[in-house]
Amino acid sequence: MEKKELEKKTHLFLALILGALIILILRLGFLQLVKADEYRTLARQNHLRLTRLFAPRGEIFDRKGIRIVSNRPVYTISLTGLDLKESAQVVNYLAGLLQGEKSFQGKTKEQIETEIQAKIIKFTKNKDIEEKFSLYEPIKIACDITPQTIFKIEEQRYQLPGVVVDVEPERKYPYGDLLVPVVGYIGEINERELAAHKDEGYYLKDLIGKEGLEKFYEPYLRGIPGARQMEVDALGRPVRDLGISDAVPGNNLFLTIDARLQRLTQDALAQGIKRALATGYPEARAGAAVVLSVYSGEILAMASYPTYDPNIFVGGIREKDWAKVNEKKALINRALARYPPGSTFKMVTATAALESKKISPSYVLNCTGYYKYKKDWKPGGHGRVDLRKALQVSCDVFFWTLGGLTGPEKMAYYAREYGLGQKSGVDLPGEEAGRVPNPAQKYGKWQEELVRVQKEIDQIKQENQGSRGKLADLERKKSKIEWELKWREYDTLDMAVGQGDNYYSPLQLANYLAAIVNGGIVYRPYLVKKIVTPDGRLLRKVEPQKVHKANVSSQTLKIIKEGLHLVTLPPGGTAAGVFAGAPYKAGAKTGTAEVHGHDNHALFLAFAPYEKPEIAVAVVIEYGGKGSGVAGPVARQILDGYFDLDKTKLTLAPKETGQSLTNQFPAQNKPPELKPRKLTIHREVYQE
Amino acid sequence: MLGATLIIIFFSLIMIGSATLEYTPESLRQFENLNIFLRLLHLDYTYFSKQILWIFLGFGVMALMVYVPYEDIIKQARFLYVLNLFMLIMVLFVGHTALGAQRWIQIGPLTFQPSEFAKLLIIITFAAFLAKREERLNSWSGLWPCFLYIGLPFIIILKQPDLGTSLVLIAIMFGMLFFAGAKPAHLLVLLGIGIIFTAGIFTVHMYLHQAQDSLEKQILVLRPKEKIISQVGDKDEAKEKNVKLIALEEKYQAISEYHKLFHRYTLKEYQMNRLTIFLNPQKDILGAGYHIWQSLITVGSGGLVGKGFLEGTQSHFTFLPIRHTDFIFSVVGEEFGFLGALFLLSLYFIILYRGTKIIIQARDNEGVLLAGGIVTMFVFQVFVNIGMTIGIMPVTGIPLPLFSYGGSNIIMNLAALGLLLNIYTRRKKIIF
Repeated sequence: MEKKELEKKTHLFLALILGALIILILRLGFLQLVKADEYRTLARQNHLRLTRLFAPRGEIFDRKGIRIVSNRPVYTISLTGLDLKESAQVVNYLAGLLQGEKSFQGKTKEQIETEIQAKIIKFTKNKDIEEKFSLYEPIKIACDITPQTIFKIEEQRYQLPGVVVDVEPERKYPYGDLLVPVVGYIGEINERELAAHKDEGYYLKDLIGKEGLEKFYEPYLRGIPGARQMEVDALGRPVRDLGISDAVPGNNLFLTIDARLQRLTQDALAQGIKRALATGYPEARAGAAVVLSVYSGEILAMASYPTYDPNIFVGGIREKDWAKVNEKKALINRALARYPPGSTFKMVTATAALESKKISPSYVLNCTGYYKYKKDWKPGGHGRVDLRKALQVSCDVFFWTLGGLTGPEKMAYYAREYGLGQKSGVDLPGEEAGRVPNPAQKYGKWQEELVRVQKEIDQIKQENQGSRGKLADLERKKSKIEWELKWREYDTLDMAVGQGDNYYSPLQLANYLAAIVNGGIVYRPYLVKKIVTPDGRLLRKVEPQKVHKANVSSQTLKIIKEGLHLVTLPPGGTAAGVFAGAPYKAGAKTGTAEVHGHDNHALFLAFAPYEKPEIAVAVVIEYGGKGSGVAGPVARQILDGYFDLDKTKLTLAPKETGQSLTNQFPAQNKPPELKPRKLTIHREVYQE
Repeated sequence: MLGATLIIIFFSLIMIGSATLEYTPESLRQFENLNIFLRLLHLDYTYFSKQILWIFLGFGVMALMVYVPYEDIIKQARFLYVLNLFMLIMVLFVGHTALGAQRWIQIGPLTFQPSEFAKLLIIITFAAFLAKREERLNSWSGLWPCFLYIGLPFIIILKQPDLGTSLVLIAIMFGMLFFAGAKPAHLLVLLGIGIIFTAGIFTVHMYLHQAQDSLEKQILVLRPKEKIISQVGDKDEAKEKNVKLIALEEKYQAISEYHKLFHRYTLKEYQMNRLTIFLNPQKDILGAGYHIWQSLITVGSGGLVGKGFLEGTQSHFTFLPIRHTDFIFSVVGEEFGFLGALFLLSLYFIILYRGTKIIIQARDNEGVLLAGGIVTMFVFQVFVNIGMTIGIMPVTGIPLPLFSYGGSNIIMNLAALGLLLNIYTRRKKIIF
């Protein structure tokens, strides 16, 4: 072979070798220099696990420090590293250990195993396949595990790679349905809520207040979740702890509620409904009662019936329970629901007539039992009545006359002056304004209807089909609506006695009564008196807040107050029977609101003591029939209880679920210190 | 060259000791307080000491290879070729299976891998074979016997299956033909045909595979529809759907038959998958792509200077599989970064550069061919192994010469280097 040729070949060969090496170096440079950060992140995700530590939620106490909602620690078991070959064995082994646990009661090992597998499959299916690192997110497979089982698991750690034991705080309601549904409930955050609270550091599987106080005070109650960072090997076994940032418990709420009065109110309401059922009102199945402090707006008790045991929500509600609660509509806080006020509205009519000078305080009317085409509730009438007497006997004819004299605009104005038809500003979610009728409101309501019918007619005409009969029907409907557009005299009369389009919540009614008897001041009713941090520091103190001073003279208020006092007195007072033998002087107003096609709603407003009012009570019993006979005794019971609370014998818990006050969450006693050491949390774990 | 070799081997020993070390919480805490030299004392010495044994053995063989004149070795070519074939066939019958392939023979307490030695034996015997027929190589007809000569051991090794080694044989063949005087144009044409053929196989397979998948999906969608319509829909529509379904099913049957047939004569489904996964390892990061994906993370996370000796999270937390053999380069990349990898590559370059110089200096054709074969083998293995760890080559099970753990690997490569030195010591004396 020619030497020259060989050299040429060798040089070519050397060039090839160099080329190959350069390819390698370029690729290495790309990986290690250009994309190094990306791969570093991936490597970190491989070997670092970030576990969230749930913060105990703040607890809820009554005004005297009785714990209404508390926490207790429970052990939970989660699985990580589902990519492991061993995971099937681990689940099998774990199933054996979990046998006999409360959450797996009466199930065989095989059943438990399939249940766990199903959970895992559900979890992985839920996740986007692209989101590969969800494999490292722990999946909770069991809650509320006994310490004995936890010991067993810890002993056999090595056979159980990927099994994680955590302690999580869980809600506990030691007194069952006390203050339900006002406290509301918590649950796992759903996608909509997650989107809404994205910037506040919520993640999937976090708990969030869904209703009531739990929802309204969520930012205070929630606390700050902590995190633990662990280094793990390929099998998911922890290698070392890289640091922990402790969870900070949420703040505690101290309510204006008096737990004992609350229990008494709930019991009284429940008994009242039972009584209504017993006395021939079969539809009476629900109701509400509100007790307000007259000079501050503090809500001392707020009851809604029916209730439920909030403990069913703990650790995720079962479908069966959810269906049951929903069927009863027990989640609705009826103290905020809207009811027609019936005769309890008559104080507004009286105010309107006096304030607009349509009548003088000494105005007297001879009630014959008729006003134009309308008939009084009492056949034959009440004879000669003045304003006080008219309130005492709830004379319809008198108030119809007043309504006719003053007109709807004035009545609506004074209703608003007392805070009716407006949001009271109570610290609960989902409050509605209620409705005060007036010509404009009526016109608006029917106008909408008219537009709808007109559209239907147009459509039929355009398509030129459909029977003549249907079109005629619609035309008739249209002319009726056109007639309804206008405010008519009967609207005024209905309004004057609290019928028609009047709708107010029991809370608004109680507040309205309070305003009448406290000299015309509308307070903001509220439930939370103060918010205290877990280490006992006062975070926020809520002072009584005057929302509005009603534009009503003190003389008018005085006359009405006297009238309300007369209601409780014989002879003739509609609530005289209710208050017979009471050791205190009171004022009250009955209300029986007509409901089309049903029994009447029973309403009752009361305050006491008459001389220097302390509390105002509103009771509503749906389809309860009669204000005085059904709702009245409930209010009397509440007032009696209020004045004699220390001597009244009470168990706070409903009898069947009575529990002691022990078993509090340990973190409560010793507030955890915030470690100064800063933990760098690798956000990518969650964001990718 | 010898110096570079020694450094590589020393480096390799440390990396093997590092790669096989697994952390425990206690040991990790200890490391953090140690400097590099103290850390050396904490290596995992089980594989380390075994490897030292192999290295001494390797140097012994190397010395032997330097001492015996290579002409004498080449004279035994015929015998060596038969011995080689015999050993390879032995593997098929009494071989020891590991990692899904039958590659090892057990003799007493030792296992050894004939396919490793086959590489060197082929170089020696092929050199003798080519030297005899040098002038006939510039025509097509002269090339055919060469293919047969290499083809026989190639097929036996492929049968084990050891695709990596058989590819090395192909590379050696091309390299040696190049130096033996075959026309470069011929070689390029052959290479082109090979590439087109391989690509063809994969394309056909991909087509069959996708066709089968899409038919399966269509059938799965259509079947319940047909059922519902046949129960409640009108008859014509049901009939139409039924006909369509039957047609689809027939087509599916045919395609899956072809698919099966295809796999019987070529590679199996999982093998194909393993060969192509490096193009997109994320497609299946827990299955076929796991090795490559973890290796990419390992190398990439090393960055410029690496995470530091014994501080690689990927290797010590056992994310990276087979890290002391095939994927040992990833450990280098992780712990010493781009600079470490560059250092190792330059060491290899020194050896290869010296190797090519020896090709020129060789006394006779046999020497040229031997040296050419050895250098080709070296560069191919280095390129494919490192390429595999950084995701530009398929995972084929080729070790990193002189670096990966394994007795056969180290002995064979040292022997090959010995042969190179042999050629060097008997080089042309340039007389002025």
